[in-house]
Amino acid sequence: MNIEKYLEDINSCRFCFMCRHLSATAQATGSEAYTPRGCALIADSIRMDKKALDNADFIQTIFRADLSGACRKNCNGQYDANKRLVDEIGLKVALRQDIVAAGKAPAEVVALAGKMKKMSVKVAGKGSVLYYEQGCVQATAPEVIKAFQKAVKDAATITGPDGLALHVMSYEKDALAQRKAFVDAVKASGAKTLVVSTPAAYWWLKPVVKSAKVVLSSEYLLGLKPKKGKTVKAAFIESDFLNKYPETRSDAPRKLFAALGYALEDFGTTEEESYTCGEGSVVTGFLYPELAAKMAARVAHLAEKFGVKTLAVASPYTKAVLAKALPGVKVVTPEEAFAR
Amino acid sequence: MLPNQDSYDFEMLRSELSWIVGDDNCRTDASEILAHSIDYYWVPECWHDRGQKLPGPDFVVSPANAQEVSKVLQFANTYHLPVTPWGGGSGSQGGALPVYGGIALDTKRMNKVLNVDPISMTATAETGINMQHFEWELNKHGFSSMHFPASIGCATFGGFIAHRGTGVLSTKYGKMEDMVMSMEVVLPTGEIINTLPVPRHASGPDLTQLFCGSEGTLGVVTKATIKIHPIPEARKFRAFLFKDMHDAMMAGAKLMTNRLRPCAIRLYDNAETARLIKNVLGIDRKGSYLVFGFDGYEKIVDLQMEEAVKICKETAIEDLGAGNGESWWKIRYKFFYPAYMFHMPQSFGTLDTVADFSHIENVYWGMKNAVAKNFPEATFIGHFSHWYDWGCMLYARFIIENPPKDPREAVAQYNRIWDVAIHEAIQNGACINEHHGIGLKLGRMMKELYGPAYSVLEGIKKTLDPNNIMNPGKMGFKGM
Ligand SMILES: Cc1cc2nc3c(=O)[nH]c(=O)nc-3n(C[C@H](O)[C@H](O)[C@H](O)COP(=O)(O)OP(=O)(O)OC[C@H]3O[C@@H](n4cnc5c(N)ncnc54)[C@H](O)[C@@H]3O)c2cc1C
Ligand code: SF4
Repeated sequence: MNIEKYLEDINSCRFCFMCRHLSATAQATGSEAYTPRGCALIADSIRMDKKALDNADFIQTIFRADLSGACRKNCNGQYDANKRLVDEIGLKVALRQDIVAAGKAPAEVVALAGKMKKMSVKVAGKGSVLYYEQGCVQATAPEVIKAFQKAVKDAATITGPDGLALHVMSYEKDALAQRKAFVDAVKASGAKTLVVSTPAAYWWLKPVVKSAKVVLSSEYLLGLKPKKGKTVKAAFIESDFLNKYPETRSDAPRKLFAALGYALEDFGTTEEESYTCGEGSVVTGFLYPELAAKMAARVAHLAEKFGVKTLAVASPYTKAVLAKALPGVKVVTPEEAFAR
Repeated sequence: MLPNQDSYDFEMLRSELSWIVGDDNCRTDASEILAHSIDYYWVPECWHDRGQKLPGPDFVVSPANAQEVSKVLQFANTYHLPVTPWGGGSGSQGGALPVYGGIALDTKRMNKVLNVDPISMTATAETGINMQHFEWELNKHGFSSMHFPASIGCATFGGFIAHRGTGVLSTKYGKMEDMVMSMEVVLPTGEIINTLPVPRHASGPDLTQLFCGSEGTLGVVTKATIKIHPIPEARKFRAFLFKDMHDAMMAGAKLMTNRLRPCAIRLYDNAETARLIKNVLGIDRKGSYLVFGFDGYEKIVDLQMEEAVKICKETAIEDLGAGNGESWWKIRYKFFYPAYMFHMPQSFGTLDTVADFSHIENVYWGMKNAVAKNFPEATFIGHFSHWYDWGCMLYARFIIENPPKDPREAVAQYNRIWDVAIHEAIQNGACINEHHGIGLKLGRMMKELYGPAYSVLEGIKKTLDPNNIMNPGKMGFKGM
């Protein structure tokens, strides 16, 4: 089983409560099971008795639990360089892989994975800049794409799956095959810069796309020397991938907002928490909209409490979920801020 | 015993509970049951580790407010179902374990800060709020609870009230029972009551203090008001090394009896200095490490620090300086992350207790010698934190590297150590516990500690909880 590779993580997390206050799904639902401790206990039960893989409740929990990285970041921050870092996300993904391999994935996951597997990559236009017009953004926050294309009129576009959705759902072979097809298409396009709007795609593609420089849309737009507008006071929600995931830390969205005249204050009570409503799990909004809505309700409660009128977010995913939950609040992405 | 999940009666109970709290908030799924079967008590951890089936709740019920709690308790009285409050489950005494099944009443949906009063410097919150979230929200207003337990992110506000919990700065700011001004409680029979609005009065005995430390046996605390504090201008630390624990203890006691007001003092015995201070802080010395700090206006901090340093220099063998004190403060929670904590298959327990300065060293040696004599396989280490004008807390720990493989034997050995060590503590003038509570683990010793006075507690329990539904079998009270 894949989880056998994560034995140390199981042993670390299964009786540990230290990061429970950062588990986004646990906070939103009040559930113990979604915390790294809860998930590790499930993994451990399955490790000790494979029959537990038949437990539909365990399976649902593992697919619903967030991959925000907030827990891991808090935990790893405590460790000396000589200590092994705990990878609670790796453990959850490994367990999802075991579930998929055993043919026990939940029906909604099977259905979405089936749909994703049928998609293919397409490139339109030619040029040194290739903009990734992601299907999920097109479906949930098309205004973000429009805003980018208004600002950068001559970029070629690439559409189709990059494999990340399949990765988080743990169809690993298919995920890697899709990513390879995507990488090949970027290469074939001859583009020198690949611009992505979602921090998730940035995290997933940056290490493997070698033919072009992968940049966040905010990074790219910063290079266009944005003009400072009127000062707008806004609360800022950082992306999990740019803050909690160590491989792709970036403050480009924050810098772009600042360059455009936004006076940002971190949203909520601390930057340790994840307020992204499931961004780390990439497809939570599609698979479990009621869970994303619960996470959004928590953000809405804090927004109301602290009188937030404008919310600047780093990720289109977060914008899509929050725009629904916060009708009285203006939610704006870097692309839209630039276009305005 | 409840009917099994596939029965009409079970579904009927579930329906009724769902009507009270909503479908989403009455959970019976295996994930939630598993997570509520193991708290921070070593015994369920050991049983899980060894593949034993664990007793768990039948329902995990998460009410939104006192009214819903009240309805759940009325329902439980009708059907004589046990109700065990569960906050963060981080208690180490098995207090939150629903050992008789029934309802685990998870408080975490009651998680709002209701009021911050900058004039009286108090804040009111629902008790299911995670303590770190409460603190962060206070910080946003420019204040602090000054409650900094190592489990600040693990536990709820209500859990700390239920256990009379304590934080690193308790020496100045007090334990949770010193912080609480008043509270709202849902009694076992469902009545919602409020204790008096202020903690100091001459209007009869203090009900607030009755519910502090009641561990869910006398009702559910749903709301409470605590004192809050401004963020201090300065907080400074200093560390010293002493030849042995006695010299360090005398110096620490002198800081307190000279009526300086340190926010923290911590003294590690030679064994902990050699093990933990070396591992975590990288200070590799023979002797006892003492660290203390002051906070408040910088001028006053400096003045107090000067006096404290004078006291320590009388007997210390090395002034480890401010840097080695500050670094302890910075990494104060690190000790509790898995890489630095004890773990399975080790058997371990925290034997925290409290006594006055005249007795505390005897308590330490009594416990240490008794453990060494009866359990040569155990290591005994300890530190002293949470200092009072009159004494301090001993945070002793035992560790057994290779306990018996059989879970029942391992638990029997574990229970014997507790009996021997705590009996010794009581004999030498200490209490069963200082801030972790009694729970399931230490209930059997309550009669020895209280003597005839225990019947007063039993009488209160009987009056408030005639059907014995609230957390039965804990704090030495009758099981189901
Ligand atoms: C890593 C770690 C470090 C720790 N460090 C400290 C420390 O520094 N200081 C300290 O004091 N403790 C510490 N503890 C112990 C633990 O955090 C405390 O005992 C805390 O008070 C438990 O709170 P909880 O919300 O987790 O309660 P739980 O474990 O869920 O419950 C504890 C008891 O309180 C009852 N209860 C819970 N909520 C309510 C309520 N609202 N009304 C009535 N009864 C209720 C339960 O029934 C149970 O009997 C530590 C624990 C861990 C895991
Ligand atoms: S991720 Fe780290 S802090 Fe969180 S439960 Fe696991 S070991 Fe504990």
